[in-house]
Amino acid sequence: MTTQGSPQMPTQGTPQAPTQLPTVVADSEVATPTSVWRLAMITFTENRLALIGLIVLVLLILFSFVGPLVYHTNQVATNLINENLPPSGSHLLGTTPEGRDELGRLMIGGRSTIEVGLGVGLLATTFGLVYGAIAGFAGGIVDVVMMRFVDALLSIPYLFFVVLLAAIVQVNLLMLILVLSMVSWLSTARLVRGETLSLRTRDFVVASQGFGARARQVIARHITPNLLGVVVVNGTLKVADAILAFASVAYLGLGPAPPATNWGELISTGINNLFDGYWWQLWPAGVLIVAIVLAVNVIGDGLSDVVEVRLQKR
Amino acid sequence: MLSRTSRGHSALRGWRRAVSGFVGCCAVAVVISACGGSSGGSSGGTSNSPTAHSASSGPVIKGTPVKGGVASYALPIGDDFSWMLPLENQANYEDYESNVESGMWRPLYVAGGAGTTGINYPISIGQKPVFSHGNTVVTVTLNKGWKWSDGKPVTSADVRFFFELEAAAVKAGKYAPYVAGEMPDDIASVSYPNAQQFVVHLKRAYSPAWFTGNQLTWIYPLPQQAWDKTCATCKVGDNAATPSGARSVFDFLYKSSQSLATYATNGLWKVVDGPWVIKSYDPTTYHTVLAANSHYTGPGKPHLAGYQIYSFSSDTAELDALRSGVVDFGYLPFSDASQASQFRSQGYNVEPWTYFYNEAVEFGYTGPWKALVGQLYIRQALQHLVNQQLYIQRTLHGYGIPDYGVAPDYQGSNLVAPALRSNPYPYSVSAAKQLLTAHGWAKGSGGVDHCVRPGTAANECGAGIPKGQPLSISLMYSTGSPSFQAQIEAFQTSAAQVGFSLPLDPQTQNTMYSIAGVCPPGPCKWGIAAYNGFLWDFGQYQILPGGGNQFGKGNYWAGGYNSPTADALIAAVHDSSSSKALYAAETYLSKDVASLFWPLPDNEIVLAKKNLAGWYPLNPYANYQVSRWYMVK
Repeated sequence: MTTQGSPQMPTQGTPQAPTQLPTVVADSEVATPTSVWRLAMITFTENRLALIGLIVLVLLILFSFVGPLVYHTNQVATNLINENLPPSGSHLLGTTPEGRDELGRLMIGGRSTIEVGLGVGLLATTFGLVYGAIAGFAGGIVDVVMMRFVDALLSIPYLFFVVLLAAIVQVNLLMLILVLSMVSWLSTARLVRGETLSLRTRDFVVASQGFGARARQVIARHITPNLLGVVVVNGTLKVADAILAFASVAYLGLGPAPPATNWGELISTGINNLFDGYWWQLWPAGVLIVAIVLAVNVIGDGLSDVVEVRLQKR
Repeated sequence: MLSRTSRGHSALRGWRRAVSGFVGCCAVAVVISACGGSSGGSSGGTSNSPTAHSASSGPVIKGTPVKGGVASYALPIGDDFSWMLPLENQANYEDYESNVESGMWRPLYVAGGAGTTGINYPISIGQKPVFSHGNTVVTVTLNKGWKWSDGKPVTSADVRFFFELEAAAVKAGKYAPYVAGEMPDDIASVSYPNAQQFVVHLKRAYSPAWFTGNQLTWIYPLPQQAWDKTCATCKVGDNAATPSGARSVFDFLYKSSQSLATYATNGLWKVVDGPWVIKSYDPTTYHTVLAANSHYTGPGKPHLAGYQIYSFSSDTAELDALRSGVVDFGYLPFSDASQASQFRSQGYNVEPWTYFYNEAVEFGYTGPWKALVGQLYIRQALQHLVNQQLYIQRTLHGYGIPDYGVAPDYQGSNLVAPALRSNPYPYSVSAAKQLLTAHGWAKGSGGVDHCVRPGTAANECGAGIPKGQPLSISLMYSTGSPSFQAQIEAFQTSAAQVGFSLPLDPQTQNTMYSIAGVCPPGPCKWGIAAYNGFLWDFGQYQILPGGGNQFGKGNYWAGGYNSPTADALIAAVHDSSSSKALYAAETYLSKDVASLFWPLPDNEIVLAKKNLAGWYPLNPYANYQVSRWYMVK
């Protein structure tokens, strides 16, 4: 394949802007101009697993956010008379030890689980990207100081933060997002910093600097866009990790207080009642967590294909 | 100082005291009845609990009793035997420790029997104490025939040796039962007129019941002829006769008790007057083996040749050990209560172990919500919202008893005030609502009541509550137990019905230990603190549940509760010889809702092999009483 059009400097990795790409000529035929997003969509949908993952994620989001509007249950008050009821017509997935409807509980539990996952993924990835890019590009003493700080934070288990904060203040969803983000951005920063170290010696970066581009411009226009592939994939992994971390925190009973809930807490309850035969208190929450983590991971794979130049059709 | 306690299945437990119960006569009777095909006990204990599972009939054990054999029991998860000296420091002030200690060194007065509370005189070394001179002089006569395993008689010199060591331990700050003002502070002097008698001269008159049950029970006669030395190779003498000498002796014994690796070999620990003696010990796994003391001269000789104690790190491991036959006497986790019938069909006896502790949810009288929790009508309203019967039936599956005050509703015990046999504040949302409305609270935004009539008159909100203040108190509770969480959430739901907001603050039990209590110090972010399981236990170091240590002046574990009336009534328990004083204190604390009284879960659901007998009725102070056990074939 060859390309026609303006002689644009080739970038490595992700296309930089959602503008029209040069017209593609294949086998001497003129192809329809393709937007970056369309191209990304085509590449993504060719990864069937990623597509299934996306569908699953959308369904889970609908289940969690739209479900309660359709399937009405009281998730605030308890009713011990209805505790641990098996699935039936009135409670499609049975009830919890507090007598609440399990299906309704899964729905509102999904909300916080997804919110924490996406929130942490976004915050940690953004901060880690900026931090790592600055450290890597600046180099020298700035890099050393910034990365030793990261190393120091990496040595502290996130559970320590959570337990400490839970003892001092009231834990809520926003705080958990912040705490988990505080410990999640570190690995992203290290990854980005490594990539940046490699990128900053590339010819196009050196040339850009030679033409007088400032550091901020170089980071914004050349380094960061070329990190996008790594970051997007890493970001999806962060979402999955955050969901699991949230589940762990909730499993220990340190999540937001009842009547709020999440899938991790539901699993904790289910495990406690496992040998009583209350399968509905464990398996659905377990399946949902596995499903969402898998979905996010395969979406990450799909996005990796999208940002990987070699897999893109031009 | 007595400490807050947690439930038997958590890693941290406070002081849980019970006694080594041997119940000789009872054991013989049980053996005889077993010969007839059954050993089910029927007296006291759990039998009359309205909700306890099948406790009324007791276990059915068939077979012929056999002499000898080695049985074993499983300690609750996280517990282990790791302290030998029967003068316990704060870190080892645990009932499962003193159970084993008192099996080797018999206390002067043994607390509790088979399903019975109070002092068990038939198996105690001391005869009933005689109070004279206006209850300022106590004369104790030792029963004859008690001997140490080295053949020397147990005498008043061994009691003196205890007093000497106790004083040294108190001075060193290493004696956990010590409470300022109590033994030895309340004793002016002790005289020893002869080898079988000692006389305690008190600084003032005390109630015989209180002084016997809550002071003399601390005494363990200790083998002066073997322990009164300052090093392993030193000569035994009257070293403890002086305060400095007593300190040296105490330090030596204390250090020896810290040396877990030498438990089975140290000659100190082989001189015992109880029915058991240490045989082997693994300091890594805490696996402990005790053998029957062949020189035991007291009543209730053990039927078994020995017994073993196992510690486990998880419920699963404990159940596996039980299923595989390693453990004869274990327990079924509450979360697996529905499997009880399955275990019965597999040949186990399953019995609830009800105990004489209490479960009280603390109010933070010194914290940010003190103005609210300081109002009696608010506490009464909250107590009306605790549905004890429902919690027991639905969340504990019947494995618990109601608790309406300092003493639980333990059947057959004369230590429980008649008023505590029924709920002074029965579950009633309307009664709670009426109390709040009558004191100037009305529904505000978000369904939460707000104070509309501030002031201190009878129909106003009360001191320190401004107009518009929402009726909301932070409720901190310990996580990890679905049944307890269900109770807490049910309570929150009931409160919400009357406009009472109780935002929940889940914390681990360990974190709660460091936060709750009196505030400040500590993050003062709780108004009500609820621990899973029991809060206070009774037994060897405190038989009378008068509430002194828990609710008395300067208390810590009642959130700083402060009531001159309660103090006076508690003082009367110390002073009056009438049980009316005890009942009056119990009744007042209950009616004053000093803490929020909550259902008391059973100690555990016992799973015992069918060929193990003699363990029922169970001891109310969580003592295994292995000397009563025997095998059948």
